[in-house]
Amino acid sequence: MKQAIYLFCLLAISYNSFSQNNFNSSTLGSIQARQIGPAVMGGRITAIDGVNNNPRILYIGAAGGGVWKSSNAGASFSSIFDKYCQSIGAITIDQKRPDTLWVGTGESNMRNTVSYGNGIYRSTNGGADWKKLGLDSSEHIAKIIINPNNPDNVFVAVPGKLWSDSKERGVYETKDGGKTWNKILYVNEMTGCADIIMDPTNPNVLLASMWEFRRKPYEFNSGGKGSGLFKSTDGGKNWKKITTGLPEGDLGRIAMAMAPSAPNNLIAIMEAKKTGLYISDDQGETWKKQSATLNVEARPFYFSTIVIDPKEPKRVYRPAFMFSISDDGGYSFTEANNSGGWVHSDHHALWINPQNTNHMYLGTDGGVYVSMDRGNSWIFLNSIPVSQFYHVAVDHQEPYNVYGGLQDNGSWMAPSNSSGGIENRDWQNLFGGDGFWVQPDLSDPDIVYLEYQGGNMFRVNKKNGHGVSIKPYPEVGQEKLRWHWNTALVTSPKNPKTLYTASQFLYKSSNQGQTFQRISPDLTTNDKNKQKQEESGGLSTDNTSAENHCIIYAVAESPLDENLIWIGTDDGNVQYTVDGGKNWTNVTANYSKAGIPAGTWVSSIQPSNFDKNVVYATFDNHTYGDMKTYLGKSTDMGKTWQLITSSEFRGHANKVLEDFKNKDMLFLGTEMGLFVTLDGGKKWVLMKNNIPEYMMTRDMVIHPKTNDLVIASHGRGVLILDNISILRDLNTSVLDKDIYLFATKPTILTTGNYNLGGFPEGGGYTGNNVVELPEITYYLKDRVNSGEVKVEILDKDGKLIQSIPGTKRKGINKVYWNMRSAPPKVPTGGTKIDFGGFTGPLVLPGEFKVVLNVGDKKVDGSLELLHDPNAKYSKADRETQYITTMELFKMSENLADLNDQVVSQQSQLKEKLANVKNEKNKKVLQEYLDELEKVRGEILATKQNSIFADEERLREQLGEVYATVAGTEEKPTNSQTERIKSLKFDIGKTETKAKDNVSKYFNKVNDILKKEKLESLKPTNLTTMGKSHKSKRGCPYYLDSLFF
Amino acid sequence: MKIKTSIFAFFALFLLNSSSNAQTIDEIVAKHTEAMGGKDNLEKLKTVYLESEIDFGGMKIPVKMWRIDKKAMKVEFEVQGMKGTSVIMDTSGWVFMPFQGQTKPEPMTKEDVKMAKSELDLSGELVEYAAKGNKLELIGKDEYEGSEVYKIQVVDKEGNISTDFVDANSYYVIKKESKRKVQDKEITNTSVMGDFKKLENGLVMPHSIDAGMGGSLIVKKYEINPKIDTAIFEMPKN
Repeated sequence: MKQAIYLFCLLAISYNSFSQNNFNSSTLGSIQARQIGPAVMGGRITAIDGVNNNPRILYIGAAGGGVWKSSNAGASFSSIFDKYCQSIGAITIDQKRPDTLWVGTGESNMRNTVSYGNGIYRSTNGGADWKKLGLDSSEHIAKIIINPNNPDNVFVAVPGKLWSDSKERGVYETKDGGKTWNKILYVNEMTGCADIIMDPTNPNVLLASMWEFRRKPYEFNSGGKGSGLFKSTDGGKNWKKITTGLPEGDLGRIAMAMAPSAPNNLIAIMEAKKTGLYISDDQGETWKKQSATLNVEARPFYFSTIVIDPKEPKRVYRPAFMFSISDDGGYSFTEANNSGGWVHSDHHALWINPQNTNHMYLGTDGGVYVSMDRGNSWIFLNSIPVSQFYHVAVDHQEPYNVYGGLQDNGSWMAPSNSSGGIENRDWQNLFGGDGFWVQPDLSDPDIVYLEYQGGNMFRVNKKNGHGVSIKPYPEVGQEKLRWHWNTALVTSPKNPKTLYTASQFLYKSSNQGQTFQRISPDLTTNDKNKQKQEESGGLSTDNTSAENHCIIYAVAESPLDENLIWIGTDDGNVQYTVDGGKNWTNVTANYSKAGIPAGTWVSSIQPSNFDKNVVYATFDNHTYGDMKTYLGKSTDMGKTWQLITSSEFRGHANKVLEDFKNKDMLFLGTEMGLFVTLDGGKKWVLMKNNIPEYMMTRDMVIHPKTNDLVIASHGRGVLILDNISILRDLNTSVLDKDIYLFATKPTILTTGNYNLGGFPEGGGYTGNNVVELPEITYYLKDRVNSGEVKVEILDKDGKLIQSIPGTKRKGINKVYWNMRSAPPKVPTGGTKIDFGGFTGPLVLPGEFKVVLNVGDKKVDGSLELLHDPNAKYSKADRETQYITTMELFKMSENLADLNDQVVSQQSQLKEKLANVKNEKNKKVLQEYLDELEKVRGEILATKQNSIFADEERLREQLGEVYATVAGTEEKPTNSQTERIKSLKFDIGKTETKAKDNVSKYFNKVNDILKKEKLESLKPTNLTTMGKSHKSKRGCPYYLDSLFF
Repeated sequence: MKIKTSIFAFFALFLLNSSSNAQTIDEIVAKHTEAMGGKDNLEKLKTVYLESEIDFGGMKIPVKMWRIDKKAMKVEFEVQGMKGTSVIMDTSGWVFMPFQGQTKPEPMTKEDVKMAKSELDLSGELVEYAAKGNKLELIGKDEYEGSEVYKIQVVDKEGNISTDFVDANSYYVIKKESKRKVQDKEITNTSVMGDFKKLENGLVMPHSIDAGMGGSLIVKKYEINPKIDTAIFEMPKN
């Protein structure tokens, strides 16, 4: 019975949580991020493949940016893998069926910051849709090869897990297009397959290089007993280990290539105690060492690409630190001359167009390059926004700037909005190296603080680029300072003068880094066993500060108290001070009781904005092979912790951020997505609107003025989610409603602040600007499939100004009002379009009513438009503009009426003419018709019908003034006001001419029609005024216009 | 013991539920056909006339459309008294767009006619697809604007490829992506359909169509099986 009650409760709870929450990913609806780039520099590129018989089609795989496709040989790219893991290890096109391509996730350049994958995917429609086909736990995939004789037979080189033992490594084969897999070559739990090649003329011949490797948080090992070179001649059933001519001792990573046009010839870089270049001319049975340059042999664990020309077996390319070219089968190499300009170092992928082998694409740590002269000079493809940010910060300027540092691509800044959108040219480089934290000095707009790897930090003047190193040094007799790859460099949320940095000690500066005061003892575990990075690398020493360990990584001052500072270290310590660093309390032992493994890297700390006792922290245990998401919360200063979990979470946790207005709204960035909760952590949803679903989310900040969520991704640049205040208002009472109209925030009436830039940058990438229009935001519980959705804007008296068709999606919808009423009626029947007829008058600042119509249901709301206080014109100027616009509007409508009257007479006359018998009578009708045509010819352009023709009549003249006056917010110029007078005069003249003709002919024609026994002409408005058209002043009324 | 069975029953129910979600193409098409008014009503659909409007920030552009099943379609819209017309027939078509200076109607290329031919199918390419020579492939269940959809790839008799997004609740086609090859380049046209209404004769038709031109086409009048004079499809001589 007890159990039954328990089960009932369990069900009740789960039901309750369902009913409580209609909140899910789709609720967020139109709350979409802007991906602002940059693409002026790239991110690391790991894979490139092209369609051999249509080389304009190209696929690019990025270390953290998914898969990109070009259909025009690289002129433009689109992202085609946004729903899946963003770390790409391999891309292979099925050249027999080039709409089919395979993608292996999990990059295999096993550096410290490498991410991981979740399996192998295939598309059969050129990347539009994907299916995951297994190898889920491989984490890293180095290469995929397809049997050219049987495209369902695919071999995959799986290095496998980097941070832990695993049986899921080696060579995998499928014979049924990925339905089932067999592991056909396996050595041990530490050794995976780094490379595999196949003889294209005899697919039974396979060579695989096996690699023993392992990373720990504080060291890397490449090489060991497990490594070796293996060959099969029966399609992978049996393998033999190749030893003849190979380097002595243990092997490390081996990169290989076979000459497609002479498959007996192989070349390989073999990592060993003495790494070298090796050549085989008997299909890998025996090998000979060649002399080689440093570039050919350097960093074999990271530079694992060597390529032989598809047609010419003697041409060998070695993309590595630089690009080396051999014409003699690898006997000698020269470096590319780079006459085309600088090429980013660190090369990982190369695809050669087999139809023109001088044409090739190179993937580097800084993006994709194309060469037309076989690698001697390179052109950068600047439209792939796969930049890998570590952190992001914002300043308080308008528009605010975003700042951040990138993997191997320095430190950058850009405005959050810019004329014509945020283009490549808007990004400003601030420094080189690997970039991490970049902090603008909020008290001095010229200054930023930034760094490159290993704690090398600078105070940089943005105006002239001058940099001053502000890195603290050890004190007298003090041990060596340990600086992290990604050293903390953070500011205070309260005091813009405060800057913190940290080695094993925490430092604080109040004078722009001129003095850094140490405000802590060693806050790490100081475990000496984890400080042997100088021995790191394995067979090849590789020590770039990437393995430095036992360092303070996360530093956060409480937004409520400058003296309350929390720190977290990369070796698992959590400590805080309440007196600005005099005393420290270590609460490390407490979080493991909540289920967070002890010793886990503290990746971020967020002291609450609302309660000093509350603190959130993310814990990243992936460097121990544990990719689980650990988000901890303590409400008692770290004494006890709660592990916040969700079935939605995936990927290790990088960053937690608490909103500063709504304490229940938190964002969590992980290695595989961005998540939000609106109820303090009970229910989380994945954010995915224009946010890649597995985006490596590394850092976030909410702008204090605009309420924008600014996100640093490690592979998709910076993203901005404009004004998240709508999310603050999303609560259960809203979500339970079928329809809900949110309050619209007061909006500044503007025709836009970013209107320059009519001359766009050629190529490149452009991020969108914020929409500067009032957002009418509403929630629909479900998609509306039946019934119209529209938003009506009314003035405060209830007069309809504009009706806007609404979107119908499930969740939040946004509709934008252009702040204009409907355009004027213009004379119709011309030979060209009059653009005045497309422009509605801009309304005046004030209150407006909003009515949301969903089918038969109506919801009322309001919105307010404000005059821009920073505008260079007054509210009175704007009113003059409005009055003038409306005057022109009325003139246009009157002219349209006049035209209608004339055309109506004309069409009646044309009809009658066919039936009038008497020739004399006919002549009178024709005369009237012709006279009216002359009038019509004065009203609007009736002759020329080319868009380049400049036939201008009253409509065109009026339309031009109207559109220019209505298009601005400022007072009309004197010329415009004068022009109105003269147009009034001219229109008056034409109107008089029309009336004169009516006076002259109307009755006469009707008499004729009577005689002809035809129906008379319908009266026109022009007849009623036919006799007298004198004004009160006694002159023709059109002359009136001259008097005011 | 009892508790175990109830858990088992609970999971069995759950499993049953989830397995019934996997639908075949034919099941989806059958539900779609039903949702659009049923096979009988769709078979009776021979001609359509509709009047609609596109609203560009208050400037309303009237659009009229005449369609004869499998034979002809004419679209006519009016801007400031100037009329733009396009006509597609089984093997030919013409277009007249005077807005940019075109002075007389011009015939469409064979390729254009071929690509637009699916427009002549009044009941849509899913209904009776096999008889029409359309090949369908269920790409899978996906999400469109937060709603669950079935993505179905359609290859018609002419070899045109498009993808229909069938709403998993209503079984209406709420979005359609058509691939078009223009000269040497592939472009994708997207239409989003909404405001599905039942007409007098039982057919259900979308009354709002957004083809990504900056405004939605809102249908004001829908006539089913009106008499249409075929002369209106002929290309004017001048």
